[in-house]
Amino acid sequence: MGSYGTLLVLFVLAGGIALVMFTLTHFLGPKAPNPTKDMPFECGNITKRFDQRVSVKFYIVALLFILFDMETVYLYPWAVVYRDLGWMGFWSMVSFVSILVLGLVYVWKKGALDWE
Amino acid sequence: MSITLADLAQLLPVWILVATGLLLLMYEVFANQADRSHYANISVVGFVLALWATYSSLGSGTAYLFGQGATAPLILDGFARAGSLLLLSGGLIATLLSPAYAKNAGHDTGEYYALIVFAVVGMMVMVMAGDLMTFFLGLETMSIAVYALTGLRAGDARSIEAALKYFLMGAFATGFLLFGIAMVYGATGSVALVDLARFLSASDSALSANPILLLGVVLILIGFAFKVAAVPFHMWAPDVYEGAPTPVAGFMAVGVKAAAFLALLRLVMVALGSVEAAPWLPMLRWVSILTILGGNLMALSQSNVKRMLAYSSVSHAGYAMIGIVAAAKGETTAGNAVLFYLTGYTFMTLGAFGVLAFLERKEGGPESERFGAYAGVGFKHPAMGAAMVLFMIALAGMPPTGGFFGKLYLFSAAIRANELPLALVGIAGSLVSVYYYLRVLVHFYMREVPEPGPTPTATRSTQLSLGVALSAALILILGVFPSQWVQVSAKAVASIAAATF
Repeated sequence: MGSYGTLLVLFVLAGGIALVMFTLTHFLGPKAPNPTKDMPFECGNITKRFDQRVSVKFYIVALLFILFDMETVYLYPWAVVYRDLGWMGFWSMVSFVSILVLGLVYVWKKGALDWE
Repeated sequence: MSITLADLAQLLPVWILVATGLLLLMYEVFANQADRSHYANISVVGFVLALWATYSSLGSGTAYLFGQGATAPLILDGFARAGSLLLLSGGLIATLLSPAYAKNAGHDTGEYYALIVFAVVGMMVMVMAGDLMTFFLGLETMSIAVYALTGLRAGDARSIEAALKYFLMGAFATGFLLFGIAMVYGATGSVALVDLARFLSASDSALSANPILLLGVVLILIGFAFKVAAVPFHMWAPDVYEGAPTPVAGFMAVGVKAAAFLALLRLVMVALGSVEAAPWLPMLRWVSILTILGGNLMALSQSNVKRMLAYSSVSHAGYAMIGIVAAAKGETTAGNAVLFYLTGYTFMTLGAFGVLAFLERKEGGPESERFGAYAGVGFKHPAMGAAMVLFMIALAGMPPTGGFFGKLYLFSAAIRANELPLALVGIAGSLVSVYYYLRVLVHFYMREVPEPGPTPTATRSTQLSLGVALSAALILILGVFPSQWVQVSAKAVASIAAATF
């Protein structure tokens, strides 16, 4: 058993406790369901049927989100090794972010950020 | 990895293009919407500056950027510089052909020109790439820009179909390519072309003991075959060329193809050529034969001129593939032949698409692209007609054009590499192609103008005329004085060979 074994014990214990608690409440707890109670609670959006229409505006937002999310993906590792990279790392990131800012200016002026 | 200012300065042409693209985007959102005519001019200035920067560095030695020695991700050697010259000229001419057409089709926007510029940036990275990942980065930069360009005639169902088809096929090809790169990396522990070459030449049994490496190389070659539209991976080409805006179709036929072939040439010359009797040789040979025969036979039966040119570009990929086979067998003149051939092909195809863009009507539709729609236009527009004659005989491979010498060098390289059957198939294909290229001229000059005639009304534009004239001049210069460019490209190809070990 190495350090991964310890981790496995943790998973088994955590999963086991959750399983026991859910099983016990399922059999022992009182049940008085109503529609409001049956709604998902703090579990994200209510899932829709897939044949429903979704506004096309979401597609632009999703596209832009991925684009600028990429920036964050680069920024995190860059921030971790920032001191080792020196000035070259700094200027690389400055040029990367400036190009991205031009992109932001572009989508802004094009009106892609206006919801209506 | 270290980045120095000296390295960055070497990439001046790329920076010029990136700045031009960004400037175009900013101009699009900030400038007065009435001065749309400046986009093409800004783009042309960018291309000319980048051409000048590349040309003035043509004589300098090989520079390894952002890495040590030949494993560097970017290798700026004579080959990369000569290839960049070719790709930049392609971008420049495609831009010149665009404004009048784009205005008619309603996509006369800054994005259009910026996308062409960014696509050329990706192409230049492809020919400079010293490892497969950098190559992949360039390929994606180019491809994403071209996917968008294909779908720019958003009101036209054919354009949307073309964009979707090209995107799906391209994504599929990218999957093959990336999977192949992953397998090569898994087998050799490196993505650098030089490391692959070392691995392959280390022992003759390296391949037979290593099916993963073999599979990786074959998958990469399939990815290339998709990008250059070689049979049997050519299905998308005719629909896409038909649906894309005409100058973009020309740009795709030359730029995308030339960049992929130049990168393939580097891969073959640096790495794959070091294996005697390599298992992928028969595959390349058959792809070449099938592409020449398939492209030419299918072009024969087309009634739409754009589709005919699409199949013609498929067959030209087959001719260029002959040179790749010869290069893979270690024939030293083959690389030079491929580069020269691609140069001629670039100008004659762009020119032909330029004439079509000139004749295309706004409310055209597929009917206006049929052979019959061009009846008598050679007399109505004498200069454009004469240029079309030149491009068609160049595409058919007749003197005094660059098309003739391109094929001559390719076939003689094939014969020197003991690939006589390939050369014969190439010659047979060229003979067949004479029929459908001259058919265009028959309609241009020997058919009566129908009364009251759906004769295409021309889109007059100085830039377009300049683009067609430039292509015509260059294809003639290549045909009458080929030696200059032959010397440049020989030196360029020699620089790959010199840098390998």
